[in-house]
Amino acid sequence: SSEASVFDPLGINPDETSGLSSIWESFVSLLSPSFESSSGNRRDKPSSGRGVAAAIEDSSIDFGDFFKGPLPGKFLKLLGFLALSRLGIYIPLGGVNREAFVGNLDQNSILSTLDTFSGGGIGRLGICSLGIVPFINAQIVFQLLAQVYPKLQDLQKKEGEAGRKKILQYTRYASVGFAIVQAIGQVFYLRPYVNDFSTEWVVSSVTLLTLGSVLTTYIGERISDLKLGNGTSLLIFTSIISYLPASFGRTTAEALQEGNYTGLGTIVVSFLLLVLGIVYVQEAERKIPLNYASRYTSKAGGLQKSAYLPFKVNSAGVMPIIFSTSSLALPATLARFTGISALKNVAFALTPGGSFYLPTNILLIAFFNYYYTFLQLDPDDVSEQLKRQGASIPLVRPGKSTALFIKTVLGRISVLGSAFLAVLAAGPAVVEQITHLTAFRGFAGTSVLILVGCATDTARKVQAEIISQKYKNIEFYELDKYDP
Amino acid sequence: SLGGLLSGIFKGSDNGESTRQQYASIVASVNRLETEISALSDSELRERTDALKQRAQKGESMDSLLPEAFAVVREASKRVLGLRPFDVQLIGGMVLHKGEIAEMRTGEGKTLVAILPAYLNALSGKGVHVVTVNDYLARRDCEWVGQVPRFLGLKVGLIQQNMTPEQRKENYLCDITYVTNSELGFDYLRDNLATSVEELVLRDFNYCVIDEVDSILIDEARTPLIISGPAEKPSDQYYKAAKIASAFERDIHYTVDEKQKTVLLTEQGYEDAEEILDVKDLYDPREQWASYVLNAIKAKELFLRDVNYIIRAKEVLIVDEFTGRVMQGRRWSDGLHQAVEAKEGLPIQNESITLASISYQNFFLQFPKLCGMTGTASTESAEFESIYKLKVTIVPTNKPMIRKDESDVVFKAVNGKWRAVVVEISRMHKTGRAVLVGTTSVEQSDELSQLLREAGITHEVLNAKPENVEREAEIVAQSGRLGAVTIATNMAGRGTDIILGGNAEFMARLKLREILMPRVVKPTDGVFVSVKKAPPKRTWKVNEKLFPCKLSNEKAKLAEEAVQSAVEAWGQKSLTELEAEERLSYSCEKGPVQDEVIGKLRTAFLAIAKEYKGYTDEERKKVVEAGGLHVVGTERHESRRIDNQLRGRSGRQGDPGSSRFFLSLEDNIFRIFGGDRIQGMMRAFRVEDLPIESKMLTKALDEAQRKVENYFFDIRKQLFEFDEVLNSQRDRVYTERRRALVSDSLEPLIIEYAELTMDDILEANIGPDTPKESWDFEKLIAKVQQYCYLLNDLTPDLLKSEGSSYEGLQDYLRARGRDAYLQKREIVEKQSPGLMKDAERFLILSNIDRLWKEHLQALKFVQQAVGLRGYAQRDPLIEYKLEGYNLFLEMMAQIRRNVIYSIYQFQPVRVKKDEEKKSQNGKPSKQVDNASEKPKQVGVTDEPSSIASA
Repeated sequence: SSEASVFDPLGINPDETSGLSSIWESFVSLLSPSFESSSGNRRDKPSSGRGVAAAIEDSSIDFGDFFKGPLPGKFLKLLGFLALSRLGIYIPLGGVNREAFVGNLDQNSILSTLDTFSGGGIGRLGICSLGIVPFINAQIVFQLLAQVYPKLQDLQKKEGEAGRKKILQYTRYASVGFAIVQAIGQVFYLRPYVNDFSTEWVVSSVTLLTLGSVLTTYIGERISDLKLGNGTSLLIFTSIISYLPASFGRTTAEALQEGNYTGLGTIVVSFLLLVLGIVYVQEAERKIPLNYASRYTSKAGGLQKSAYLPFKVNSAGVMPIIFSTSSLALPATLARFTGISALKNVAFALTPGGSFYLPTNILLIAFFNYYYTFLQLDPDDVSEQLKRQGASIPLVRPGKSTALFIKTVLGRISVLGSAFLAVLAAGPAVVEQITHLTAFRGFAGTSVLILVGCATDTARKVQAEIISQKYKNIEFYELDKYDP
Repeated sequence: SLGGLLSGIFKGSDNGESTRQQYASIVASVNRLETEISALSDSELRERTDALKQRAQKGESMDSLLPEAFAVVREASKRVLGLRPFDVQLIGGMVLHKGEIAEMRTGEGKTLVAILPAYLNALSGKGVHVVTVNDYLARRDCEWVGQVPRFLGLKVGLIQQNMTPEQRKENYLCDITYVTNSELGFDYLRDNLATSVEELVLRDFNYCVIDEVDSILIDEARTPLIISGPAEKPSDQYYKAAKIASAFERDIHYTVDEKQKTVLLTEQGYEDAEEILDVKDLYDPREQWASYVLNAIKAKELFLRDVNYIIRAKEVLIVDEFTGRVMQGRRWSDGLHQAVEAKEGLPIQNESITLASISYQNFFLQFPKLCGMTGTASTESAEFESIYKLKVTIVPTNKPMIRKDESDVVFKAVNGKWRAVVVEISRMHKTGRAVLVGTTSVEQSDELSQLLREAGITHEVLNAKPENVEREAEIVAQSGRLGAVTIATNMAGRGTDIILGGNAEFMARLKLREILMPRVVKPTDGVFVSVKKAPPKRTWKVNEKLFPCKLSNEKAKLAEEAVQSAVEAWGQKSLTELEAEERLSYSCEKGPVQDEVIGKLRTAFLAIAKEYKGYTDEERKKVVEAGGLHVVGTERHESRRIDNQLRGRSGRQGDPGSSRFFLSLEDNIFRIFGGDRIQGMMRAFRVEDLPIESKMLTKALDEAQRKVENYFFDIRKQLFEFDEVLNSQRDRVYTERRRALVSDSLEPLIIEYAELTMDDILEANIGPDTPKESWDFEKLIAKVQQYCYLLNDLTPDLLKSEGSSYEGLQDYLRARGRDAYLQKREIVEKQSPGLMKDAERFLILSNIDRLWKEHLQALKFVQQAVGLRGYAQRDPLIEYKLEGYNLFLEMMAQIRRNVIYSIYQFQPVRVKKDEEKKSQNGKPSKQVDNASEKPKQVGVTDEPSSIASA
């Protein structure tokens, strides 16, 4: 595995370029299906050589539309920001024996998950190696804190935009704190591989790592400002994508070496199936129909279908998997520090491939999913919001009965969601067992989930943007028919 | 640019000096031209306009013409008005020309500034609109400063409320047009409901100067202009709901959120309401009790009499929160107004339905170049920048401003505050200073008035109550006099010019009015028949104390003569009050007069004003000596901007003055937005009537106010983002409509409609993916013939032979659809030549109007519905854009299908029998939700025949 450890300070790594181009490709490929789905059953009308009426009703989106507005500029900016965020990963932290470190990394499952999120920064030991992770941690912590401190919750829910801004500000501060802590942790973790472990080195490294994280957070916010998708998700998206080719290459190389062509085929096919399945589940929603306390609804008959309360089948996202992976790794860490042999046995049983790994993991996922779903979508709160919006579920009285109703629905949904996440978590291991190949890193369900979520989100935003331009662009179509 | 950067950093202390430096060189070049220009004769000066026009047409940039144009206007202004624009006014003009917002203090001559860029930009021949807030100002400005461009050979137009479309058209075609924001906006909407080219009045937009720009683009941003037609009759449900609301108790049956202005029913409330109304689900869309009940509770708790509205002659009139004025003809939407009417036990007016609407934001953004002036914009500069891309530039004052804004005095309880306010007023009153007290509602102004009466301080009250509004001019005229005390609501904000010592011209006008009106105005009777109480006889008598002196005999005689000649010319007691008022105000303004009678009145007016001026100047000196006008604020407003407007009444044109705000921690704004910090302080302070001084407290109060500003800004911003969707669709639809309206031949469009509709039918009945064997020709033919009876020769066999493939079938049907249209056309033309064209146009326009009207409601509904998409981690705005687009496509397809269907079915009939049936538009009487617009009919052009459409 010499390929991954190539040291490339200037970022002229082939990974980089292929990473970016593959983002592009995946965008393109992800855009086209989602457009079709949104134009629904209405067939696109051919627009060539037709008049204005056809042009107006033409809902198809081609690349001409894409280039007519500010979108290309925005995408260039987005790519620029993403490239910038990648660059920091290739500027190395000095004084570390890299090869020894990477060797160790492959054996540690949490670190490698983190490594995926930070785009291989940890493995490469760049100054931006913490990446967006401290910010994500801060976000999670604030989300949890909001449950404990009602004041925070008020800020988030009742103060509107201003309150959210304030929380964002707190999150930023906290992310710096997390960055420092994580940087210190990382620096000490690196101790065995450091040539000259001095106080100056520690201080300078911690500062650099923290600054790197702050920079990444900043870039993430700028990306959000472009309104092409959530900056944090896009950064993770890039990280994962940038890892895919190399990791995939490694698996392929392994397969070719062993002549395990069926295995390779199975992996590729199951990967594609996984992606399809995730796209499907990710878009799956339970739509609860609503009545609004406003006039005119009865007259506009067909509109009633857009009045609904949507709950995603997988509303907790990847969080349950992350939580459960972290919990599973806990015994191993404890065992290493304490050296108790009983713990060691437990830890061994709980490592991937261990006898209890799969059942425990699935149980934990189900638990965290249930917990997290209700944490995000508190039935009482949803019921209150419905009331505020003047909406009500038919034949369910607003207030407590509505909350109860929502609780039942969410409870059922979370069972489905847990099953889905369990498949995601167990999938790679099962495939590995069948094919006897090391599955590539991006294969993990979490990564694909993030990829799909981020891509569909961005696709919708791009689509909305293109639509806004379409109203104006119609002028460019052939208008000769009006001047005979 | 460094200056700009620095001023950006030190925003707090920006007094416009950096602006002065920035424009110094251009001002200098205007000044250099002055000697040359002032040597010109009148006609030579006028020729300069033509020379400049030619240069502009040759493509020379406006910027290069600026120095000469400004110099020409300055000279003309000197000759015509006797006013030479100061250098700072030139700077103001330059800022406006750059398309920015010029912040200029009260009394700095904004009106005059506007003509500088207006003249310059009119040189291109594309027209300039100068927008004011009311009809009176538009006319005054047009007649007064409008003389300058008129003198220079430009045409100056004026739009007033009651003008005919022909007059409007003519005036809009002038080089410079003075118009109010509402007239301009409504003319735009009316143009887009026009059914013939002749009805269009507006020209293409080019450049627009908005006076009081913050009032229009920020305060009014939340209320769109709406042209509405009557909908169904009001139901009894309002009264029932009002009864329920009055029986319900706060916090038992419902809770109130004052910040978001919403009410929520509690569990108990739902249960009881359902029981009383005997329904299973309050939200049942068939009955919609929920909206009635919630509106009724809102009306009870959040919409208070004499604060949010007043009642006049059985009508609920909204009081504008920003201006404190009654908004004639405006109604709250979504049944809220009806709920208030039900609460007050008044007759409930009809529901209405929106035919066309646009927000001021989006309306004014249509101008390629937009600018505005106001006294207070800098606090909202971020908003202007982010939404309108308008930069705010502070223009320096001519004389330095010496008003002292003293630090706030804060009390714990409201009572302590009011006591202190009374003490402050009496203290100032004793020294002889004029005092203006600002209050936030009609109710409060009355309460304070009561307190002052008890304290024995004579004072005037200026609020939206009818009896006070009538005397507005009278009150303002003497607000600046020695020891005068005036309690006002926000009415004494923009445009109120309080002149120290008293306003001699106002007084002279009132004097003239007193003499003139009883002699020329027709006594009103018959109008008030329904009211039990007889109306008080109008005397137009003004309190004698108002006038600084008794009119000398000589002046009185002069006035008497002028009035006599007026009576002779206009007839004894034969004018309506409005007409008489109009002629009077015309006589008392500065515009040129041609009419002999008006001229006489003008002479009398000027003479009286001169005599009064001798006294008021004397008094002015005394007031200035005492310290000028003192402004007392009694509550912080929703934004610092409105506070500043109140403060700005004092210290005009370098006069001395001061201001002080008295606050209490119990004030609404701090109670609702203050948060825990202020709540905590309230508990900490025990004393009720001693002022609290604390840095921390002041900071907390500022913080609270900023929070309010941000809160409303976010709301406006969000509204704007959502409105953008509607706006681009409106643009699209109006463009298409306009095209259909002005197009000479609609044939190609209708052929396209026919073809596309045939495609639709084919696709709906035989999809492109259906295998050929299972094509259902019967169904297809039935549908085609339902659309077009002319195609009754179609048989399955014929189609089978014509269409071997799907594409072949498609082509064949398209051709048949086209032919059927042409055939129809021929038939109709034979019966009545030229009719088809009119019919086509009518059908297209009426279908667009009707479906657009429905689309507006649909969008509104979807906007509400997408609010909950956040629960699936989706951005509501994006969802709104996507769903809105789908609705838009559906609407456009629907229009097309309806039009082609009606054309196929079109049967000319000689007799106009079912006139009503032909247009879905009917004859909507225009009821306007915004601004003062009288109901007026938007007629549908007389169609030569009726259209029998099923």
